[in-house]
Amino acid sequence: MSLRLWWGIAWRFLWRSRRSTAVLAAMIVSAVATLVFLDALAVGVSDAMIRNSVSLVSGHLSIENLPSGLSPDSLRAPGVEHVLRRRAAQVWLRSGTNLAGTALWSVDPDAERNATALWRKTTAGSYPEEGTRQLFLGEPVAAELGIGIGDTVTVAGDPSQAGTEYVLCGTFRTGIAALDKGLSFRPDQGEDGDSPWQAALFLADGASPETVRDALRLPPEATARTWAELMPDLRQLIDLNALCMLLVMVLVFFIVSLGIACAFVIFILKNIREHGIMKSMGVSSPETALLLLLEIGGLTLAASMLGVLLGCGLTLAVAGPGVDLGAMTSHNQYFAVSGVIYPRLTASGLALPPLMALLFALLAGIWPVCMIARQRPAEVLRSI
Amino acid sequence: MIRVENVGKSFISPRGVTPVIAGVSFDLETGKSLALMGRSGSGKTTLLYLVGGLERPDTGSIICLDRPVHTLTGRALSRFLREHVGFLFQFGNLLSCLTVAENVAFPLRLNNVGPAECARRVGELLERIGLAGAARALPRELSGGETQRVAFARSIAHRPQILLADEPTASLDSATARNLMDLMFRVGREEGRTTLTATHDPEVTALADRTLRLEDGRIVG
Repeated sequence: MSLRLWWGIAWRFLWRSRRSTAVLAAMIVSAVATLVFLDALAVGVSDAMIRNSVSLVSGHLSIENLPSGLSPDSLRAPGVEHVLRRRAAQVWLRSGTNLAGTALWSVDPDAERNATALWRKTTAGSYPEEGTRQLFLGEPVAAELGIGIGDTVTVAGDPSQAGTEYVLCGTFRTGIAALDKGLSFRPDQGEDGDSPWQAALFLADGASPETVRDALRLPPEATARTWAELMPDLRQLIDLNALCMLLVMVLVFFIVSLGIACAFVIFILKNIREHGIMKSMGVSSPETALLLLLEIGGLTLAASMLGVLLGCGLTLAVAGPGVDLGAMTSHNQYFAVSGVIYPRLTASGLALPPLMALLFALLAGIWPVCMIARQRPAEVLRSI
Repeated sequence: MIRVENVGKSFISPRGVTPVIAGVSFDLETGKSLALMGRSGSGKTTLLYLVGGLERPDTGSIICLDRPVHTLTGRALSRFLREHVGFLFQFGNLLSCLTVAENVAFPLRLNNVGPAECARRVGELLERIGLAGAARALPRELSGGETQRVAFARSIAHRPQILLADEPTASLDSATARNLMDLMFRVGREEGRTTLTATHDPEVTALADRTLRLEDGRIVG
């Protein structure tokens, strides 16, 4: 008897035991749909952490030590949305007798406003305007200097130098100490001459920083680092998030599989009479096992597909508006810009739950299948 | 030819060892019919199961169609059952998830009969038992008599050389039982089938070529 015919019989068993089939399918559908959604949510959390971290200032790819003659346009590889040109200098800020050391970045204010989110973290005043001698400082630095918006600050390479005067146009606070205390901004007016510059590359959704880096033809002295290399703590957090999700998936299916196992035992034992009759007609034990495995596998596959569709639907419905977790993330540095999570479906998130459902269902089915396959037909027929 | 020699079978239960068949021997020639008479618990069903290979004897031997049925296991037993044996049970025992036509076709499909031949044979059998209009009905939609007729059609669909019937009329009224038995023995003779029927219905014994009486697992006449 061919596999097609056994499948036909398995299908009839499932279709004509609709109530039991529906209950079993509902368990699998709900488990798979929940996990597809949870995985999409976990991916959305990771996305949000990356988005928040890179969009604040650093970009997906940071390239240092670029020669001054190199045009930013030469870094526009496929997948690159914005190239920001910056020059960094270690300076001293002086106001009266107060001194503060900082890394001062000369930037293009319009381009920064287009690509980064730091200007949204302005706590007083505004972001610098192009062509002005304005400074944008972290709140702690302004406090250390004892200055407010509109006050004058002297910028010098050395505390003993006279320096150049700037006006404090705005202050920011991100909650990230390294940024708030260590980084200041001014419009680039060529003060740094022919010194090397650094680029921050912002990529389109889905573009890989490693791929973009490999595609760029950088001068030998330039060094390019991805956000994962710049922020290994974030990389680890995302990996930890993914591992936790995998553990949740295994645990959920382990628990669900216990329920599925019980349901399969009931489902299979309900049909024990049929299997005894079939055996008396010459159906062998391997064929009985095959029939049962086709029933379990077919039901699980169909229910899993339905679960995937349901999970996708749920994810897409939520992904539009996003889930605002701002109340729970406002003090978290990885959510410095926004606490809105946009669940995202991934290939692994769509493939793993149904595969695990199939694996666990087949494992759950082993005992009842072995039991029925080994049962002698006379025992079954006597019990009818 | 069925040859049963000195067959014994006991069942072990918490209450101890219960002998069910003790030293039973008989021969049944090919194409002949035999009625096994006896009260409930006399061992008729167990003897049928032993001849069909569904049970293994503790002692003795059973040779059916030159095969040592008492030693058959696994694939060899499955092959023997699906090709050469038809079982007709007391309550029909149709597969509840299959329609009447699918039930009758099942042994044919097991024997890899093609769809066209399968449909032809099923149609012919349903016509013969007067249920051509019920091909797509499920077993739960049939009466007791109809169920037994379908079960009979299924048991002979693959033209087995041996038919083992376990009290096939016990659940039927006398008129329906008579019709079914007439049909079973007539078709059996037409197709040269060896038929072994366990029964306590005297009318059945009248239709069979031979009758054996069982009492407490022994042949008494």
